[in-house]
Amino acid sequence: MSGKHVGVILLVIAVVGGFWYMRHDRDARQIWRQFDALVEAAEKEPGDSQVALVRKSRTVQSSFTSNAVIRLSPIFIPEIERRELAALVFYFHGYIDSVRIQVSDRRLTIADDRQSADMRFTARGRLERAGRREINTHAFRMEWVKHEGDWLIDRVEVHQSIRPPGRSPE
Amino acid sequence: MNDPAPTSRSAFSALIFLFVGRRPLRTLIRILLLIAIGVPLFKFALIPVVVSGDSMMPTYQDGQFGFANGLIYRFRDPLPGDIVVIEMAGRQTMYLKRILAGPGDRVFFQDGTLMVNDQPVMEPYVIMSNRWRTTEETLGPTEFFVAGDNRAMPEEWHIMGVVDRAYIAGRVLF
Repeated sequence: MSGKHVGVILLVIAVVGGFWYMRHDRDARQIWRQFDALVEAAEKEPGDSQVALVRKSRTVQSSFTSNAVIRLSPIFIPEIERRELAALVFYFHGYIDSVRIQVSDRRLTIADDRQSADMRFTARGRLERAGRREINTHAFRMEWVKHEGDWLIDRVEVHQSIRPPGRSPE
Repeated sequence: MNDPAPTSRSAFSALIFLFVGRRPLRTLIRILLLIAIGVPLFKFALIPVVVSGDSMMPTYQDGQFGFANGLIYRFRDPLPGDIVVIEMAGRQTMYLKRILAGPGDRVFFQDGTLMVNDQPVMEPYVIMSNRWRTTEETLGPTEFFVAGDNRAMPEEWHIMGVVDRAYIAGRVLF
């Protein structure tokens, strides 16, 4: 391979690397790291100990601001307050045997002032309880804010591209 | 004693030759050309679809593979009967549904029968039907009513309803 060819390949690698770095700046990396930790904390393995489950529920709670708006309807109850979150996650993990979460279509837009960010993603949860398997897939919109140097979730809600009709009474 | 270095070097050279070829620049151009054609083709024109779940049974089974035409609705409007893919947060995970009614239609389910503009609609693709009952929806100028073919499911477990045209990513080919 001649030096010219090596130069071309290195140039391509540098351009691709540059683009990748520009797209994944420090704030974005921090948000994605926290998001991945949140997803991991929301999951449950069959062998998770009680201590591990308490730690996971606290990790989920600490990812949110104190006034966070949490609307996970139609999956769960209409609106959850942050102070209830740890208990709810702990109860949910106790109710199921395991849950694995697969995230796709994740997209992050950081505001120009670098103080807030908008995230969209689709989450597919594979739950197991008493030998029964259930799969739930929902799209979410998540708003992040920068609070004392840390990124926290200020709002999360299910995004429904299909609006369900009303149920007619019998 | 044999020196292992020549063997390693020749294996490495063979590997380089396998991936880069005799003309690395030409190989690079070919790879870039393949990416330039393949990415837009499979992102916008021929969207790969893997069915997950049973809401489109019996027409589509869980795990079935196919393609959706992502360009068709640039040239014509979606029509009732079309099986379409609908975006959630993007195009990696999408809903697979059938269009049952279009803009301006009034649509609802009455004891499992699809009613469009107060007329019952024959749906040969529905094998078993639960007694779905929904309130009437009047569709806006860019709205469509969609549901899966599996009407044996209880309606509260089935994702159906009104979708805006902007979320319809394409029509399933097979």
